[in-house]
This record gives sequence, structure tokens and C-alpha cells, in this order.
Amino acid sequence: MLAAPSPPSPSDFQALYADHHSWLLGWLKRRLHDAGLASDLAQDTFVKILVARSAAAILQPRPFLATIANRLIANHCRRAELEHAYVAALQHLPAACAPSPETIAIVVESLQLIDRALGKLSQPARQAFLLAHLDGMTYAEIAAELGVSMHSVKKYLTRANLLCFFAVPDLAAP
Amino acid sequence: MYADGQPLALETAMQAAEWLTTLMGGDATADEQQAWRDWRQAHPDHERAWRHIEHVSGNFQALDAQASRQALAQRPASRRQGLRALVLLAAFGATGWFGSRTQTARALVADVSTGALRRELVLSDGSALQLNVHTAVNIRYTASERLLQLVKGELYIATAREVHTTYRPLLVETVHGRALALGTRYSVRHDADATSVAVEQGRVRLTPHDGTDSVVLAAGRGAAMTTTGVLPAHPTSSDTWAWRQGLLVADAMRLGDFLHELSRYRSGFLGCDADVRELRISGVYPLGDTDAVLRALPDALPVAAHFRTAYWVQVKAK
Repeated sequence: MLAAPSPPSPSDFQALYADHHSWLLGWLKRRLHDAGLASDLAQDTFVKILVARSAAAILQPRPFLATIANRLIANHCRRAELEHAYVAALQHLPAACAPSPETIAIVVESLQLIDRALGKLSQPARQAFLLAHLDGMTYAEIAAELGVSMHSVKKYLTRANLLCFFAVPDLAAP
Repeated sequence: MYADGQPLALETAMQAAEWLTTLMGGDATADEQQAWRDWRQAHPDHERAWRHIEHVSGNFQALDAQASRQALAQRPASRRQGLRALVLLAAFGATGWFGSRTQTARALVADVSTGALRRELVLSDGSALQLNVHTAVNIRYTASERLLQLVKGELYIATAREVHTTYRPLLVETVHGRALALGTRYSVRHDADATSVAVEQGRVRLTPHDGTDSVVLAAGRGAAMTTTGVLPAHPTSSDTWAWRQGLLVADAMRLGDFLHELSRYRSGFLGCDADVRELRISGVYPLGDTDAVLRALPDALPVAAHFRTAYWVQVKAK
């Protein structure tokens, strides 16, 4: 999902990186107690700025970097949570066979997309989305299940589809 | 809005989302499908948006519906719900509930069981549950699912829709697999080597415990499921539901099958000689008095029931 970095606006970005990378790395290490993860997230933070080509417009670099890094940490934790819960649920289901690491990666990416969209939806829209996409129910069945009209089901789904498919530039984004 | 990491106009994204809703419904008209193709060709961004949808929804195919639901149910805002789910997993143990005990031992500790009488219950969510004779069920309702474990026997469930709470799927589980209700009325019967499911209304998804695929049964269809797979579906007949009224409906049924069915409603041994097992019997028989049914057999077929004791009956050629 991550877009290929576009050519940097060299001087601003390099200055930002040179001045603040080691500060950000130290800040992340204190928060995460995991040097490898801190290093990855520091790198991701700068990649985000590079992709957004926003280095020149930053007035207060450190609070800005910390804000992005905080979101990346939250994403990372949520992703780990989803992966853990999904794998735990699979192990609990006798029917499922162990998926490959590649499948898990695709699954967790999909779960994260859905999770983000669900967070912005009303309760019935959430249910409609899951029933349609996960369970393959027809709209008439969803309408009956939720006790709403077919028109409402389609309205819920269109909004859910918009948020799930198009609202996220990439999964590490704020 | 974005597609594949690149910006996309909100209007285009909105149109693509609407097309997805229209086409996912499965009932798009030929005109609508043509309009959708025209829309895709009208602008490169439309095509890009649609390819993005195909890519992302293609990835959704890898999702296990049930595990996804459980993972997503643990919203970060409600940690306590996640904790309850963990406690539930711990109580089930690593091997799962069905792996841990013999069937008899499970039946002894089941939440609800019946002997020679049928029973009807209304569950906490308003679902109506009917238990056939000699049936044992565990009722496991949690924050994320409504699970009925059918230990033995046969049940019929008319699922209630829960409007005011988070959607919880309703599942019936046996040693052979799971049957997930998709808004529905259906029956599940647990025999020794298979679980039979019949759908009266709505749809039911069957997932054998050791199989790789699941099968969705539509209304008016029934199928048997073993631990490894689902046998081809067949239309249900009136006899599927007859036990709920206490009747056994036979339509050119093998006598062997008929007696096996009848034996579920009485105590003791009910045997059948091999030379009459293939005879066919038709009729509507009350299950409340199986002795009377056995005594009436000579009226229908050239056979007779020999009562050695009240609990040992053998059906032989007359």
C-alpha cells in the first residue's frame, strides 16, 4: 500500500533528517523499550514526511515528528493486536488450518483497513459491512437481520465501502 | 480520498463505492452492468478506483469470517470486552471443548438436556430453541457470538435478531463442525458419524472442523456434514420438521431407516432383521406412542414386531 517515495525536496528534508533523526530515535526508544522497532518507526516517520513533501512547511519540527511517530506507534500496536486476536481466534477454530505468513500479512492488512473504517461508522453500518463482506449475505437478509429497509442497507454499505476502500492513503498513515 | 496510495477525487471514490454496493448485491440488471462498464471507461481514474476495489476486496477473500469477527470485535476502546474473550478462550482450553471429553461425559455436563420428552426454550436473546428427545445442548453466549454446542440429538432454532446490541453471529457446533446462522430458522441433528442441517428460512454456513471449505445452505435445503466435509445438499421434505410436532413422516422410507428413526424416541433396543430392512414404508406416525406404531406395522408391511421384553423389540418378516 505504501507509495513509492517521490523525489525528495532535497535540502529541507536533509536538514530535517540531520537535525532531528537522532532525537526522534531516542524519543522512540524511551517510549518503546525496543531498539529495532524504534529504529523502524523513526525511519517510517521520515518516509511519511518525504512522501508528503511537507518538510519545508514544518514550523516546529519536534512536536510534528512526535505527533506522526505517536500515530505510527498506535497503528503498530493496533496491527499487533489484530494479528494476535485473529491468530488466537483461528487456533480456537478447529476447522481452520494454519495460514502461511504471507496470508497472515494480507489478512492483517485487510483487517486494519476494515478496523479503521468500522471506527468511523455507525453500529448498523458496521454490521451491514461485516455481514456483506465477511458472511456474503444478500441485502435482503441483511435488512431482515438488522431490521432496516434495503435502501438503508445500501446506504450503509456505500458509506462503509467508501471509508474502507478509499479513505486511507496507506496503512501507516494518520 | 486515495486509491493505491495515490490521491483520488472524492466524487470518483463515492461513485466507485456506489458501484460496489450495486454490484455486490448480485441483482444488478444488464443495463446497470453496462452503465458500470461505461463508467469505468469514461476516465482513467474510474478504472484505477475500480482496480483498487478489486485488489482490496480480493485480499478480503483470505479472511476467515469468524476469526476476523472476533479480532475486530475487540475494539481498542473497550478493553474489558477483550478481556472477557481471553477468559473464554482459557476456559475452552487449547484443544477446544469438543476435543476434551467423550460424548457421554459431555452429555452429563450439558446445560440443557432432554430425555423422552421434547422441550422448548426461549434464549436470552429471544431466539426460540426446540430440543428433540435425547438431546443435550450447551448454551455459550458471549459478547462476540451466540454459540450452541449440540452434544447429542437434534435441535431447531428460530434465531432472533438483536437490534440494540453489537451483532453476534449465532452458531451451532457439533463434533463434526459448525453451522453459522445467516438470519434464519434451521435444524441441526447430531448422528454418530455426521451432523445433518436443514434450513427452513434464511441461510446457514456449514464449516466442518477438519475441512478446508465451508458451504452455504439456502432455505429449503439440507445437507449432512462430517468432520472433513459437507455432502451434496438435497431439498428438505416435510418430515425434516415433523418431529417438532411429534410426528414421523415417512415417504417410501427404508424400514431400517424408519426403525432407526423410531428408536430415537423410545428406550431400549429396537432391531430389524436384514431380510426386511429394504422394505419401503409410507405414512404419518405419532412419536408419542412408539409401541402403538410398532404394533401397527403389520397393517402397512408384511412384518411384525416381536416384543421380547418392553425394552427389546425385533422386527421380523411375518
